[in-house]
Amino acid sequence: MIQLTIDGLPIQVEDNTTILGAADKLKIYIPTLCHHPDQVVKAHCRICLVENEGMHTLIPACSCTAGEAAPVNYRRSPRQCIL
Amino acid sequence: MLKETRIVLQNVGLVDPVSAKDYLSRGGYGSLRKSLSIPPEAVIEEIKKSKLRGRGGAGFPTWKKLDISSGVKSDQKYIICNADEGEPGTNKDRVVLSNDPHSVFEGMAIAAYAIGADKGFIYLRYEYPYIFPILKETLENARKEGFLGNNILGTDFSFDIDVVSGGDAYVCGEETALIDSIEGKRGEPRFKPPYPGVSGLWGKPTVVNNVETLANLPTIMEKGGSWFSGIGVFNCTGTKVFTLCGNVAKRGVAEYPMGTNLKNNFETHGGVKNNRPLRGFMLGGQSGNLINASQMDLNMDSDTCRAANATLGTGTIMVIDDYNEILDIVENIMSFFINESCGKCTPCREGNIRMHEIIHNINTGKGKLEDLDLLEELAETMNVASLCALGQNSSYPVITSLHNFRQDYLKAIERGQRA
Repeated sequence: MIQLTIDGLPIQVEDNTTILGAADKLKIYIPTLCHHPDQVVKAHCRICLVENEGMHTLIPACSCTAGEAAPVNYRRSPRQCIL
Repeated sequence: MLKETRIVLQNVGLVDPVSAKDYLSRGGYGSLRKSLSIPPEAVIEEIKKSKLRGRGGAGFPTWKKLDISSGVKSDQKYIICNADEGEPGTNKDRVVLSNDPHSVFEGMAIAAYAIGADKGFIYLRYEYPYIFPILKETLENARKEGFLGNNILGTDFSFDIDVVSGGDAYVCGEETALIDSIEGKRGEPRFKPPYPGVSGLWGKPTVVNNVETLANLPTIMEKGGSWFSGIGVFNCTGTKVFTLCGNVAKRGVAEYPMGTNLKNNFETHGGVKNNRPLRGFMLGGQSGNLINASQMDLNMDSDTCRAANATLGTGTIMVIDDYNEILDIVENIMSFFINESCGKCTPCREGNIRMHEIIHNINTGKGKLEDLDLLEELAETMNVASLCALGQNSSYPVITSLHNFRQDYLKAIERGQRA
């Protein structure tokens, strides 16, 4: 089990859960485009980018597992620029 | 006047490139012999002491790459030499590979021994077809002398190298795209993690290093890591092979210690061609930074450059004289990136095209003042949201020219509005 914080809300998830999966449990909606559970995720579309504290670049929530993430901020992500 | 300190280029011009005997007479393959007599961990320890950092542009500590891969348990590991020198204006790897390929092979063998790899690849740039036969013949000669192949120098270490040709793609200089390309796929960067050090070529631990980085290893093993770390500056040790190009009097490749002053370097090479006034420099290749002439007093090492909003990158110094328009240069660079973006991720694929469009508009007198803010916003987005370094860095020339040559943009917009 891994402890994770998304937008200040703590949650515990299984190892190998993606940030997207964890956010789902918290009822935080992160939009996706190229992600599909039946597909091998490749993080192309960059719609689901979230801010990982302490990192310069944004990370795709669909492909990064919770274990790799420091506290994650979704609402602060500058996704608006991409859309 | 600067004097060259030659480590990577020490044999250039002094040996027959393909001849193993010539290389041996210059003390070649002695470092491999020495490395094989000590445990692999000690080799990595020596490289750690040297504080050698990758010379491909990113400046990642070499020992860390090796250490990560050596810690992974696998039946097969790979060493890849990144000779896909795609950065326009950079010629350092070409000089090393065509004049002293043995030193690169020796470096690869040392790195392979350190991580326990038994197979290596050289990913040679498509535009260097004449180097291909040189490498083939050199490999053959090295095998004949017993420095490659099975049971090298009577030990149970076996290692061999294959030359793979690239396919004329800039993005394949990125390590994961390069790996995809060797696997026979379309060269597109992979999502990281997993990093190649853990899962790279065909899913096996793979260390990808630049030609210049590998060519440094034999000297480090021969003279010791602490000797090497005495050259250059504290966190950026050793030498760097600089390529001077553009409107400079004496173009060419020269090796100086890290932290060498840009002004000194530039003046040693005769200043601007035909004594025209200097406008600025493009540092570190096309994805590098444009600086103006007043910022010339700059020490060229990764950290100082980063702090001064410049880049060391691949060590390319493109000199720009007053005959050139900065906007033309930036527009040209952006059209290059449109061509070379692989199209995998959205920010890079779309961003480069939009950025080129805006700059083209400004340049042809259709620009507005708001466009400058839009450019900054677009650049920031590409920088944080792109998948690989191509998209993350391709906006640097735009951003830095916006800061350092803002007058040029303003003048072009004003000219358009008056017309």
